[in-house]
Amino acid sequence: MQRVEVVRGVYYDSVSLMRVAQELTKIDGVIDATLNMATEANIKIMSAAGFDLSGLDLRPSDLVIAVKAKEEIIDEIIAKAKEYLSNPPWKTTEISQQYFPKSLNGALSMLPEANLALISIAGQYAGDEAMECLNKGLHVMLYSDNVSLEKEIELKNTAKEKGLLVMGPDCGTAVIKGIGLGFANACPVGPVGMVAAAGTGLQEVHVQLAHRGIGVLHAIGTGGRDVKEAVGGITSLMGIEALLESDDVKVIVMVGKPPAPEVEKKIFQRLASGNKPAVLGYIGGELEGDRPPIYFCKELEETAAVAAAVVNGTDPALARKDLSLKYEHLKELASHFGKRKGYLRGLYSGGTLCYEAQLIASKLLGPIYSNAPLDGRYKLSDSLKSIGNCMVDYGEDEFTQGRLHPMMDSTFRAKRMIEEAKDDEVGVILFDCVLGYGCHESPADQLASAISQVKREVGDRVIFVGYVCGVEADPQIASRQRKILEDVGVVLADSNAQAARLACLLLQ
Amino acid sequence: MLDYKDMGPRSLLVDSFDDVADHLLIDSENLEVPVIYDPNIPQASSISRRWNALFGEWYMLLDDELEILLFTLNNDGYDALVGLGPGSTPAGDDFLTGMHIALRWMGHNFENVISFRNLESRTTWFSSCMLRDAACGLTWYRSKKLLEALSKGADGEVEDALNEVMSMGHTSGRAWISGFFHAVSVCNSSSWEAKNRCNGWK
Repeated sequence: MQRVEVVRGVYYDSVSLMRVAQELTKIDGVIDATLNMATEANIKIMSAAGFDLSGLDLRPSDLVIAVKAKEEIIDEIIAKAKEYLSNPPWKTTEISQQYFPKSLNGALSMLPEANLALISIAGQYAGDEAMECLNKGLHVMLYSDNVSLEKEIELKNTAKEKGLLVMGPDCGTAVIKGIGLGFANACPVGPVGMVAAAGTGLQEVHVQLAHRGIGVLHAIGTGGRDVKEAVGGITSLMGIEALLESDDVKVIVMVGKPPAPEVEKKIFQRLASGNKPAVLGYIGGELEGDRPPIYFCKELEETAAVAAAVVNGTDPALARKDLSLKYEHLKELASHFGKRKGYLRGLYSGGTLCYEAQLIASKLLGPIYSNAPLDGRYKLSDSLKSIGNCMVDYGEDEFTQGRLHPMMDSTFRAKRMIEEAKDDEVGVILFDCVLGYGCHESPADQLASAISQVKREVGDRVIFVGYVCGVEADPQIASRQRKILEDVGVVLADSNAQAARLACLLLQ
Repeated sequence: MLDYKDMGPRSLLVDSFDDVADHLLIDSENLEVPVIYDPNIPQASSISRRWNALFGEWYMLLDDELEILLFTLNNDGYDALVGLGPGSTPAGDDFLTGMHIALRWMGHNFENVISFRNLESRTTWFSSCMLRDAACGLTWYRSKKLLEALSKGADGEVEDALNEVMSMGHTSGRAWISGFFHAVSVCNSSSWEAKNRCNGWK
């Protein structure tokens, strides 16, 4: 049976809610447990998971505790949830023994030389905090999302006047002087400087460069909207300027979705008039035909391969040829595993990885439905219900309001994986597994557990294709994560682009 | 108690041997125990304005399980904090100890902050010793390091010293810092309410 309980007007951070839910599901007799703030998106997700929330007057400031368990223990489980919330069993071992300043001024009194503030608070407050930081002379990495476009423009114009950078909003990853911020991978430091929208696109190029023995000194995040016409590429252009001025940066790499034409023109002109080689990795961009020392790429792995060739002084054309050969080899690999009937379903934690996979798959399979589609005509009306060949980005706002980003907790995505695999119309399930600082301590375990569970039911009718975006030095250790997935029969590729191609080739 | 850094200046030697103390004279000078530090609270020469923002955070430290301290302080005043909270050093006493040490350090008197009468019956024996030590102008190792760091104003030293104090017990360190910051903050403030409070301490 199920029980839904509402606690009015409280706030708990999503990590606490996730931990409580995890603790409850470990108890014998508990089928499912979830705790969420009652945002519209969460209500939809909980309803889709089979919880009956009809007739409840819910507001975003309400906490919903929902449990499916054996009748005889359900009262006890709800009581346990409340007990864990007020007195978390894990808290005693996690008490910080460090003094953390509680205010910006307090932090600055302890670190007067600090010149960068990382802001990670609710989006509605983040803009004002960022402005305060700028007024105190600090560069800003704005990790928060849900900051309005108007606020972003105001912040970036103010920053520009002061000669400061605003990285973001929604800047998940950055690297400054080799130090990773946010969801960064433990890659080597080297002669590459990047300017990127600052999500998994940056991570993938960072990781692919590392696989080729090339390090990154700076990776300046801009936020996805920076290259839109309204913002005008303010941070991108300032980032380029900073990288051009740095003696230690030898090659500049730009990564993201294609900019607005006017912005792209400005970026190209500035790079062309600079004194350094540059690789423009705008995924699915229309610019092509290299104009050395400026190179144009359309995929993330290609961007890394070309940038590595430029750093090494080898021919970028050869690097591209090597990649093409690898992609050709995927056909043999697909034949080896045997083709499957049905649709492709992609379940992604990384937005840019999902975008790139859609670009590749749409060329091989035709239109791809998504909650973040390439073409608005193929937008899913309900992100929880797949149509045809379909890819879902679980990092979209609809899934992250009041809950953890899927890179920090794959539970929700893993449940969807089970549902998709049980669908007779599905032949291939494609997914990413992103590693790095800030990510879940072992995302492969969360995913592998779902895969092995569903494989017992559906056997090999469905094939799972995955990509582990990470390096050996990451806290999760890439080889360990790969092994966990391989042990449950996942076919792993060496890049996101290869995984997407292989997944398509595995369909009849 | 974790190590020598946590020992009050006299509490362990005298009070933990309470049962035998009547018959036993402890000659500490001939124990050949190395002198670790001087427990006397120094007088602050000058306090850099740089730390004012930090001192102003005192009430923000009283969150979660320490919220009761802020509530009690606002409603019932300092005296009601004596013995408030669980543990061998109730958080209320930690707050008051930090506060007394700050007042001593800044050269203020504190006779009107709390009543020391029957202190032993209002809180634990260890806590009452801790409070009386502070009133006598004595403090323990970790807080002494903090006073020195704040006086020197060297980068990193204040942070290290605060981390050491924070490591005291479950909430003791946090409550102590909050009380310490509170007292400095009130003494530095120019507000009418703060002046009134401060006048009571002089």
